[in-house]
Amino acid sequence: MDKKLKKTELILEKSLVLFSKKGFYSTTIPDIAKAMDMSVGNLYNYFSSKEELARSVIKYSSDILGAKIRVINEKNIDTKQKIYEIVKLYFTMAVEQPEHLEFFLRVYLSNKEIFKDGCEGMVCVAAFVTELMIFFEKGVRRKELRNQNFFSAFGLFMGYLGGFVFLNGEGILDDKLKNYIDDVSENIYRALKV
Amino acid sequence: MTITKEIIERIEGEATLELEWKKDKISYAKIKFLNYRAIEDILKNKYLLDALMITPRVCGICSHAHVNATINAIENCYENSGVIINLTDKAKKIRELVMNAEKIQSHIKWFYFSILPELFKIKKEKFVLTEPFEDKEWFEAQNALKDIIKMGSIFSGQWPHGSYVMIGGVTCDPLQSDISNAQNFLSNVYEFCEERLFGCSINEFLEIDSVNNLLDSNSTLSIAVTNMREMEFNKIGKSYDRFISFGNYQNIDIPMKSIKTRPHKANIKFAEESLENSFFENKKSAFTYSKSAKYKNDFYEVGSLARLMISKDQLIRDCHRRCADSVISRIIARVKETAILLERSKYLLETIDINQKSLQTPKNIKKYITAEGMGVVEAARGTLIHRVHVKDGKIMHFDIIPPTVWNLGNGNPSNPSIAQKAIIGLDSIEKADFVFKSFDICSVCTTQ
Amino acid sequence: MPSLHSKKSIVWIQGITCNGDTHSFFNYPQMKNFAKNFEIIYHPLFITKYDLETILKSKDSYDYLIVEGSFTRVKKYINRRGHSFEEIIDNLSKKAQYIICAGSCASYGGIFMARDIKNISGALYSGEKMEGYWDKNKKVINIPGCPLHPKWLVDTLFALKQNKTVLLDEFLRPKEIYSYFVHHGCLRNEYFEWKIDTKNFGEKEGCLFYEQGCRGPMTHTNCNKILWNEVSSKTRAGSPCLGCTEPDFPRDNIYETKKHMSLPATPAGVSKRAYYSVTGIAKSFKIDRLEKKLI
Repeated sequence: MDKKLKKTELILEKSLVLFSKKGFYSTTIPDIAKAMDMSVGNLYNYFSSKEELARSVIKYSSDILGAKIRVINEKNIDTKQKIYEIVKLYFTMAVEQPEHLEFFLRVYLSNKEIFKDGCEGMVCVAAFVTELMIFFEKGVRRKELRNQNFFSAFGLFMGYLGGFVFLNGEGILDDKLKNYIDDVSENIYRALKV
Repeated sequence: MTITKEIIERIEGEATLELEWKKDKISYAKIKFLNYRAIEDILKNKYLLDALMITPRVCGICSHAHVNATINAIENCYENSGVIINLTDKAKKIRELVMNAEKIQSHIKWFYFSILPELFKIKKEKFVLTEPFEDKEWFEAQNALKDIIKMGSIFSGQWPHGSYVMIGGVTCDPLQSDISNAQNFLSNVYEFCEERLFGCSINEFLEIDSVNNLLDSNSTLSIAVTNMREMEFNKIGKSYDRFISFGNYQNIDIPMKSIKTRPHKANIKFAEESLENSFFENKKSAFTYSKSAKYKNDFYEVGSLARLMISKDQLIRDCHRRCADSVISRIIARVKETAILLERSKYLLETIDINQKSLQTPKNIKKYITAEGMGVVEAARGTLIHRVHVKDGKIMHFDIIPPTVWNLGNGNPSNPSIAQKAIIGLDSIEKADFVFKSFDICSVCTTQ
Repeated sequence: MPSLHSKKSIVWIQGITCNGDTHSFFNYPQMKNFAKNFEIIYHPLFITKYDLETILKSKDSYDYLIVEGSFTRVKKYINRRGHSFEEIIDNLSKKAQYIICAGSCASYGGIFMARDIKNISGALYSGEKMEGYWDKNKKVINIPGCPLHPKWLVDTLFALKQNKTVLLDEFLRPKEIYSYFVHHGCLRNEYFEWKIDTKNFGEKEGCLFYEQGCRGPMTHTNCNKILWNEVSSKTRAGSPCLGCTEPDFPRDNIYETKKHMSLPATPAGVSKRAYYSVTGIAKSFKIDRLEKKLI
């Protein structure tokens, strides 16, 4: 990979972790430069502002999540199994790579003013949403899911998962997140099936 | 008594005439339409709006009459279930204008491509004016019908088989420059008709109130009429002298009938389709796929002659005094109506207000309704009726009564149909063939 | 019946039809030049040089057989002067150099196929399947459309007359015509790009693809390039493309875009991933100019 690109990716990775832990406003460019072991001036060669960096981070994170769902979409399994795999992926990431979901919930959704120019609508989360469109469309075409408005299905699926990760983060759940995968998948499937 | 079978070709489709002869004269005629496409069956279980795509394909020459009859029937279904349909003046005018284009096309095509060649085939003369794909005037006629279709297509998108109507209006949203463009094409057709067909300006032609004055010019119409007079065609093709139109058309806004020259109000509830003689009744005596339409058990003629008799057109009244409802009257009526339709189209183009809405979606409109509705339009060949019964948005039953089943159905020897009556008594097959064609048979419409 | 001088001879016959292709043909704008190059020696609707009996009995060959309407072997479905369609087509097709299927009925079976899908078809196709009237016939060129555009027919005839190779696609349609899509040249393209659907029928603004069932992006032909009757097209007159040149015409529920979880079928040859991604992004922007009336 191009050296600069590789460096860019590392910056995004570090920023994702810092933003998700400390929030957007409490994380400074010097913090990120320090974590990267590079000068502030040099960091500005990669990103012209903290806002631009945050916008790149959400796109980076969405691309990673989208690529993972794409792998599931391309598996030769039925829709019910795909739901299980997506739930498992989401809950596993919530535990093992919490920075992605944290960034999405704590930075992206909570600071819309940063994202309004350049990340309108689904511009920066397109990779992730597109994969879910493909998942839903195919499920309906295969007559496994009920045909309905995209957002009513999307909201049910993602709102439910997001809510669960939130409950987990608050320490309210009485069991480990992974132990809910079966029931949550079954509930989603029942709610969306034909 | 001898029986002969004559196949009538060069119509929209094909028909067979089974003629009974007594003393060298036709004593009875059975009209057989033997090709059937089952469109009414194909429409079953389709979504209601799909009829707007299917019914134009009943007929390649009157597809826009069909699509209008269908939209009227669909809107009527909604009205019957309490929805208010409110068309703007603009939408009404565009619907009519596009149908006018189709009618004018049909009239010119019939006169030049069918009637004139057939006439001179009977005379066994080569008709120098309108030899297909050869003579100047034939190409001019083709150009004129193409231009009038252009006028309509600006609004309908295409012809044949445009689908330019929708519940509450029309789908196009023309610019003023589209109107001007349409006016240009209309003007070309005026020019052709004035120079060739009428032999005078349209205003002068519309003023003519006697057949003799028609013959003053050397127009193609007057050549045709002169020849038909020589052949005594003013005596053939007479029927009951009863005419009907179910309205929705220019100055005939309500259903009207005319017994000879006396117009009366009519009521569409008395229009009925008879399956007598048709294969649909499954009787041994059945011999055709065409149904027959009657009004209170009587046969009535529909088409240009009927419309102009009902609206008391002076020229046609004069023609009727001299030639009654003979083939000459039928032919002159269609040419006269061409002029009326051109003038009407000019008026419509001048008065369409493009600032009005093309379509107003009715309030509280549901897609999956249960209702019945009827749509009526005047097509080139006469009244066209569509009746539909829709349940939960799907078509249960669709009934199409095209003009041809009024004119060319079958009765029985004691009550023959319009065309049967016009043929009985003739002494040659050529004349029977020509009389038959004077109704402008649309076999494809007849046996959808 | 040898070809007259340099004119090529045409025999035009009809299967199960509405005559729409014939009437569409009569709108051809350059009819004089057509007549200088071709002669229709038989047509069922008009007085021609020969009648049906004569051309059936004749052993002479001719250049082009134009067939309008669906094909069938069922005798009671079509009867022309006492001849079944089978008798007519089997006789005439052997004597023709090329067989031109004029319109969707002759090409794929078309609208009338719904009556009896087993026994009504196109020349070589039954819808998308190669299960037509003939198993094989190398002379066939399909010019689908309901109706066909007169230029599609005459342009093809001229190419054949001049011994030019007419490249055909997988459905035996001339590529010059059917490599285009109805979408090409549609005046609503910018609304399609930004995913702005029309608010209602009867408006110049907005795309008919998302709600009104338009098949423009997946229908092969050049309607919006050459225009209908030289002046307009379905989409220019505000009505959705019905997809009438495709083998699956007529589809059901045509005035509604079929969607799965709000997602329409993608334009021909565009992957779902690419299309949904672009769609989602385009929809995220509100373009004020495109939200307003054009005038």
